[in-house]
Amino acid sequence: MESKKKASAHKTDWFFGLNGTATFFVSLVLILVVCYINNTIKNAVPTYFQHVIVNCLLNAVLALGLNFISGYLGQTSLGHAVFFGIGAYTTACLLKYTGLNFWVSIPVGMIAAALAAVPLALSSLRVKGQFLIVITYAFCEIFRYICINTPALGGNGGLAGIQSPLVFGTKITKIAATNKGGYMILLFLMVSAVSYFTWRVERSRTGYAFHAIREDEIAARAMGINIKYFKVLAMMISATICAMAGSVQAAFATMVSPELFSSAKSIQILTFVVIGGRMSIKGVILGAALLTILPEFLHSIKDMFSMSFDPWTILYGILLVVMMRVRPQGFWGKKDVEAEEEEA
Amino acid sequence: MLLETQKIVKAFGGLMANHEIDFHIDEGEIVAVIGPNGSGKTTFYNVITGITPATSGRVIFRGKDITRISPEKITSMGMARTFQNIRLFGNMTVADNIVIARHCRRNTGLFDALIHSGRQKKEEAEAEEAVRKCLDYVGIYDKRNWKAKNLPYGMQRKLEIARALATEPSLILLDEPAAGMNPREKEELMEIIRRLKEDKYTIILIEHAMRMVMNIAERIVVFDHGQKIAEGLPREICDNPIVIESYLGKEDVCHGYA
Repeated sequence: MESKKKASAHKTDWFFGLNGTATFFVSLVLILVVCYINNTIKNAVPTYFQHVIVNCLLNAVLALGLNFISGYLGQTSLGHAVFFGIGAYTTACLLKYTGLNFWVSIPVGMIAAALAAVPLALSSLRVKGQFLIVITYAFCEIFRYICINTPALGGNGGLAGIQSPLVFGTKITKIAATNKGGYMILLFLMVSAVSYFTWRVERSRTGYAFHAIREDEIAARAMGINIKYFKVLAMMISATICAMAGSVQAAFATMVSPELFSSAKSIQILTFVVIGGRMSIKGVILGAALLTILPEFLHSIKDMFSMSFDPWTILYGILLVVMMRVRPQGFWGKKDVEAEEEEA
Repeated sequence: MLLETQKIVKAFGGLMANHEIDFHIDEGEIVAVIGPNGSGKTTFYNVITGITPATSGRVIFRGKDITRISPEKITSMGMARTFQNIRLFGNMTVADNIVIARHCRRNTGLFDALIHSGRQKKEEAEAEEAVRKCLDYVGIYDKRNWKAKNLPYGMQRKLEIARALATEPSLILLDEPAAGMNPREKEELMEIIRRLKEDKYTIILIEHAMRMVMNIAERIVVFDHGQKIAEGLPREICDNPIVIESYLGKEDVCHGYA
């Protein structure tokens, strides 16, 4: 415990002075309480809110995944929806065509995404900036069109009617009264696991290699770091994490469609990371939560002022611009990224 | 012989950045490489360290042909370098810069990191020890929590040397370590290089500060237009008419030092 504390000294302060472990238990209790209230009193927590929470957690997993590429490796990817989609489609197909267990389909989806990450990483080894954006974007589009044009994958309409997964013989949707509770707990555990993994990797040999590549590739090579290997590795880690979210998404929505691969989704994931704060675990999770709740909140403005149109996109855009202007390093990001941006 | 190059040629299109360079250095030696700007000194470093492999010719390090070997492998074989245009990991702390340099001496993977294995703990302790040792060596241990880019220029150069040391090299290539340093810092740098020699490191030094070169180099190699035009003891180089013509100039820059 002693050494653990020392190693985590750089990230002990999460919320109200709690460290990571304490935050985990407090949040877990909160989630369980919400589920419990839900089960005892009908409609205590509206289904709509639960839906938003599930989406927050889902997006947090995606943001944590992209954080490896856009945070530690410092590269921009506009195609991360591709791994989300691959995870979702793998789960959907396995459940629908082979009747495989949902829990087995998650690792299969992760492996599929990791394999797909290799050609993407290899083709983008020597490029960065705009060129990388184009490559990642194109990569995502390829998969979208494959899904649209393959009848077995459901074409434009996608695959529907995916069975909900079982936990100890009980359907996950039956754990809590409003079929969201199970997903909340599952996704919360996923976010925690990925956060822990990220936190461990950040200060490991691998993590330092990522940092070095971001800062200076030539110097990194001079330090004995195999750039090719670690770039591919980062992409694979990133892909597996996003695929995990995809698998849950498929089960949660009980269907998959080519929309999963939309560039809007990719942009959204990138926004979570940038607004939340690159390289900050807390930052990307909260960034995802903030940007998932914000549009929902903005939607309600229409009714609040009984406006004739929905002003949410306008307000959302303005808010993003203001946020980037005020805190270019992200809401919970480390300050020094700011200075770097000013120099550039 | 620790390092030897045989007829190294490096061509960028029609430009011969290095032309048939023969060079050698023995264990424990300090050799200075001097020459006008653009004479191919840094290119020579890049060829040796594998960053831009030679067009033709051979580089032999510790008896092994490393001409086509990747820079990361060469580093792990025990060759380290500093950069003329400082290339630190600017947004990382000074200590982190040293830890990154330990990369080639560590071999833990993701799994070790995840379970925080014994190997991982051992390596972390070693890294901590290396941070203390290497930063103490150049005298900037008290700055270990600074961002590297916030260090004063002279200290950044020192950190480059410390970072090179952290890779546990036997041969160190210094590329203009004194550039931009004030006289006092140059003095300290000379002290560091002397200490490196005492500690049995082998050093190749590119430098324009002739006072420093004459003081510490045991042998000098002179480059001009991508070719080696002279080689010898400091005293011989000072009197060499070709070197005076192409680089040193008519002024007596080195007598009194050598």
